[in-house]
Amino acid sequence: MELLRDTEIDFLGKRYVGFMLSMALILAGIISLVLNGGPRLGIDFSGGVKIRAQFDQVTYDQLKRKLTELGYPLASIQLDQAKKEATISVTGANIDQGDMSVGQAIANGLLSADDSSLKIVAGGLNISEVGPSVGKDLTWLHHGQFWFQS
Amino acid sequence: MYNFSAWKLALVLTVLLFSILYLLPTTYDKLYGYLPLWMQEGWQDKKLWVVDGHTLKISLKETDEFIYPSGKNYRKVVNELSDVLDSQINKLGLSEVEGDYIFETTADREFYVRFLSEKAKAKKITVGDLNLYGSMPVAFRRMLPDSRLKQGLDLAGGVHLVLGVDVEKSIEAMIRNRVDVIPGRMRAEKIRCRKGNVYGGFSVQGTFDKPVSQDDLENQFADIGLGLYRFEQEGNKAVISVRYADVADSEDGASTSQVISKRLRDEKTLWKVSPGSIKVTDYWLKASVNIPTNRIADIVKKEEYLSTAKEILNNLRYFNEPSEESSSSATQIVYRIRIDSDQITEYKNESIDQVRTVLDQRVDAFGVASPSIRREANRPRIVVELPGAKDSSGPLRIVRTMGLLEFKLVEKNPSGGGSWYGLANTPLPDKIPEGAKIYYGKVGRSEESDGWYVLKDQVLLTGDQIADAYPDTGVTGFERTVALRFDRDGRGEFAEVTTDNVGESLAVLLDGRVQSAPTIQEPIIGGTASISGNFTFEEAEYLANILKSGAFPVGVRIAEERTVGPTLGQRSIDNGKRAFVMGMMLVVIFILVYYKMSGLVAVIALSFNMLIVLAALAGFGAALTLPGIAGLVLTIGMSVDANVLIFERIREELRTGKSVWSAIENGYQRAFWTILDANLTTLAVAAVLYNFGTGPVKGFAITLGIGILASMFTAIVVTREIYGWMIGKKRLEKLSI
Repeated sequence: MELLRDTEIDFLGKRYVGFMLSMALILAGIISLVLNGGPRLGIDFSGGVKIRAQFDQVTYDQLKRKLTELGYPLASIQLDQAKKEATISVTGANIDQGDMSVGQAIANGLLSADDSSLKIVAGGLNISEVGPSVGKDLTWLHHGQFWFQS
Repeated sequence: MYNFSAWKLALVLTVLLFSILYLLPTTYDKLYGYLPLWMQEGWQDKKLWVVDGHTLKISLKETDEFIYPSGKNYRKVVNELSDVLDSQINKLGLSEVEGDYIFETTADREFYVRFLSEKAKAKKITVGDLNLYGSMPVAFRRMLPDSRLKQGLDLAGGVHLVLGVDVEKSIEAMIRNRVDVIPGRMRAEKIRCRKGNVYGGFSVQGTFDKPVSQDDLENQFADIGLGLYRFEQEGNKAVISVRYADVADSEDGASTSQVISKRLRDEKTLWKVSPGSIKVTDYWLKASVNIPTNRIADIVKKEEYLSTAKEILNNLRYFNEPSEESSSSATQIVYRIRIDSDQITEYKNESIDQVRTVLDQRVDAFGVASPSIRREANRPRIVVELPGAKDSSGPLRIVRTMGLLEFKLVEKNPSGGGSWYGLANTPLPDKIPEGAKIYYGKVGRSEESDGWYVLKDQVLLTGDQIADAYPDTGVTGFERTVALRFDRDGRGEFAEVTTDNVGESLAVLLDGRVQSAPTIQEPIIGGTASISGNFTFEEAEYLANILKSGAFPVGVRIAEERTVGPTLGQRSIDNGKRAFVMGMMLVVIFILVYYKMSGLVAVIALSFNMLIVLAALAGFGAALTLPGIAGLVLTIGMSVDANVLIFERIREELRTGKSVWSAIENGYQRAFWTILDANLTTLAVAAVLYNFGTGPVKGFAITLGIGILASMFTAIVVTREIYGWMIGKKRLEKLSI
């Protein structure tokens, strides 16, 4: 493809600049990984609960307060105001307990909220839960072994 | 010069024809209709009446053969039917909740759908809009592809469950059960083998960073009460054999072997274990048989005696042949029977299949629409997909109940007063006589009545012996009960049990919880029993269905659960469509501007490619999922990439002054290997993703793989032939590229 024609840039002459630049980027990447203790694992890997819900109208503080009330103060909340959609993740939660799943319990807690603006739009609920053992299976990078060994 | 080849034309046209045929049921549904083919064929004009255009009435009487072809019964037909009707009515924008239609089955097994509401009338919705029958003759349809492109759960909405099967624990339970059973069987054959002389265990092997001593190991495990049964060491490799009774059960539900394996890897140990080296090598069972003094001397008699004992041990399923241990003596022979990896695998496979069968029956009994229940290859997992399920509490309940029904006798109260049970003041463990245990469950009839029972250990009957179960009303006519009918064996045993124990209380336990403990008034010969337990109708029906389907042979736990609401699913479809259209448009505009006429050729190839991928998905019966759409959009890029490579090559050839056709030929030849290399590497990645990926990743890998293969065909073969037909015979001066 020749989107730019008749150009003359001395790429080889500037190769050391290029080396330095990529070295710096790689180093920065490694340092960032070390400082943060590796990549942050999603619930697919760490196990836990992720809820995507559509609200009529909701603020971060409201959600945070309600989740703390429900016993999940550490839940992470991402809010997309344009789509009126919130993504709530609780990593490491033990999903295999009781008659109701943890995700469903949280969702029910939100659904029954007194605050009318916290109401989830009908049908606009998406719950994913991954148990710790599945998470472990998938994190073969962390364990240095392929999961098919199990 | 271009050589026209008829077989290439035929190939391209055949692929096009098949792609269209496979996509037709999805895109032109009026031709095909939505009822399953056998319904359309057998029911046409026979039993399906349309009354006044707003009511659909189907009579499902069992006497009519064509209503139930082989393998179908009322339940299955109703499931299939309501599945189709549900989704069609949904498509019309009506909802049951708002009462836009009424959906009912009557006692006469007639099925009604009525459109009643203002909304339905305003929309002028009639039964015809349900699209139940296709306009194409069924006989003709039989020759055509029939499967539709389905939407995956992430698009259609529903519940997706991944169940883990606890195989280790169940092997453990199996061995413990055998340990209990063997002495009795031996006694029946007059062989001396006492209860304490039979025990089970397992061996764990590990590679350590230095030789470990038995003392080290025992210290490490002291707090869970492990006395090592046997310990062998060779260099840094050690095999540790552990007896079951030596280790206390863990509280979090892990099996004993899991507890030991985990402890060996613990960070606080004196040793380090090389990663991945800890594994259970075998499970075993030992039985010591005493030889009576009068047989020790007589070799023939002794042999006879021992071979009977061996025979009994040999008959244990999943176990290897028994072998004599070196610790045997003249008066006592110790047999060791192993379950090695082959049999463990066999046991795993069988128990997972059994779980699947039970799940099948349960889900069927609960009338879930078009469920999919399948085993995950190479892993002890079962994937359950329930499209349309709105929340997971119902399905979770089906899955969580083991369904283990047991009948046990209630112990007599030592201080008099009949059966020993109560609401409060649970008796202290040291007061409980040997051979009995405390169980918890419902006492009496009131709602909040959790109490305790002291039950004898012996299981008199289990749910295996139940032929049928159904919800019923009790003697009073108000109370909901579950009626049980035993099979022939169970009937005999139940009669025996009730005859022997008149006046005692017989407790009915489900999954270890007492449901009710009625007093046996008189022997019950008829083989029917009922469980009363203050049920609602739904509970009684639920319990009956569980009991009918049987119990899970092994423990099942939830490994993964995903619930997708229909609104968010619809949003995903919209977003996916938008991404697809945007991607397609940008690529098409760019390629047309940049390559002009040749760009048009590439666009034709690209559209053809998409057609093939979608047709292949429909043909395989695969569902289109969100990652699948991602794979499709990626394929747009991959497909165009191949054409870009070819066109650039042709431009270069043209610049060297070659004629139009030879530039094209050279361009294809030279670009071919580059394209093949690039596509093969991507194909390899797709294969790896498919093999090792789970659900969503697999969907992506499939569409990507099909997309690559199709794009090789369209970008290389199809575009070249199009050039050939367009300009092959003409002497063009200039190529629009």
